[in-house]
Amino acid sequence: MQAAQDASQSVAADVTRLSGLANHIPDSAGADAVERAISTYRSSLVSKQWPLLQSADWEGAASGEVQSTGALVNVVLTARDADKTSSPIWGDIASTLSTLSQDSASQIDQLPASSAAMRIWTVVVLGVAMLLMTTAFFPTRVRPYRLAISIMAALTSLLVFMVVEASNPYAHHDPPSQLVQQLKSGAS
Amino acid sequence: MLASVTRAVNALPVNANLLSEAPPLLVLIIFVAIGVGIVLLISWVFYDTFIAMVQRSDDNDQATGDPGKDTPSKPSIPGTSDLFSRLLGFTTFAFVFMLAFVLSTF
Repeated sequence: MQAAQDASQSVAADVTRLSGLANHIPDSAGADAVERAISTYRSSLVSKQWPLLQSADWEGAASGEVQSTGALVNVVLTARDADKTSSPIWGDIASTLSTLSQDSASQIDQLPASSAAMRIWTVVVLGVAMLLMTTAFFPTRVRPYRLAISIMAALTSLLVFMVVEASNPYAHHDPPSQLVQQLKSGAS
Repeated sequence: MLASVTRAVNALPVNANLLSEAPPLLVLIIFVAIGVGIVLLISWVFYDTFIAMVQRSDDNDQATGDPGKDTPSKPSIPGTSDLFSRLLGFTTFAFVFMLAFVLSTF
């Protein structure tokens, strides 16, 4: 859970740093193009990438990340090639892009593996079997019987809920506030 | 599981992205309601069957030979209650083991 939050915050910090570096690109046309690309990337992170992370769609998130990062890198490379000043800022931008790519991959790596679903279903099946056996093998007077099995069912459901919640660190969490605020303010 | 359940819920006509969008407390309440509801329904429908099953088991437990003879004519068959208890114990152990294992992998 903490690793997922750290990775998300790192991605947000990388995008913010990239945005700051783009302001120092000497060629104004290139700077505008890079800023627009960063803005598109940021918007994609919040509106497309995050819902995929929340629904634990590993393939969709990875595919979206590759496309978004690829588009951003293409724009940066085009702007760098068009820039005649050979400013050292491009080295910093390339370094930040590399870090962003690693942090994005780390963010997606926090999603549960596809085999996690099978393990969680095993827990569910065992919990249901345990409840049904208790219900079938130990009947007694109606009231205490139903009270006892209801408590057992509630506790088992709580444990299953804990497992499901723990399986995806992004479920029920909002995207990093840093990105959302930048999007709302229209910062590039 | 989250993804598969979410996809299943999304396939419903209501198109509710339940697990990822509903508040955790609501999801917990739904989980508990489903668990308790199913168990209560089963106990309500099959209560007489379960009682009859346990009584048959108790009858076997208490069966003894003819007291007028030194040796019973037929060996009594042990009841199933102890077997059921062991089965439940084993299942509970497996559940706790898997629970700890799965939680440790996240």
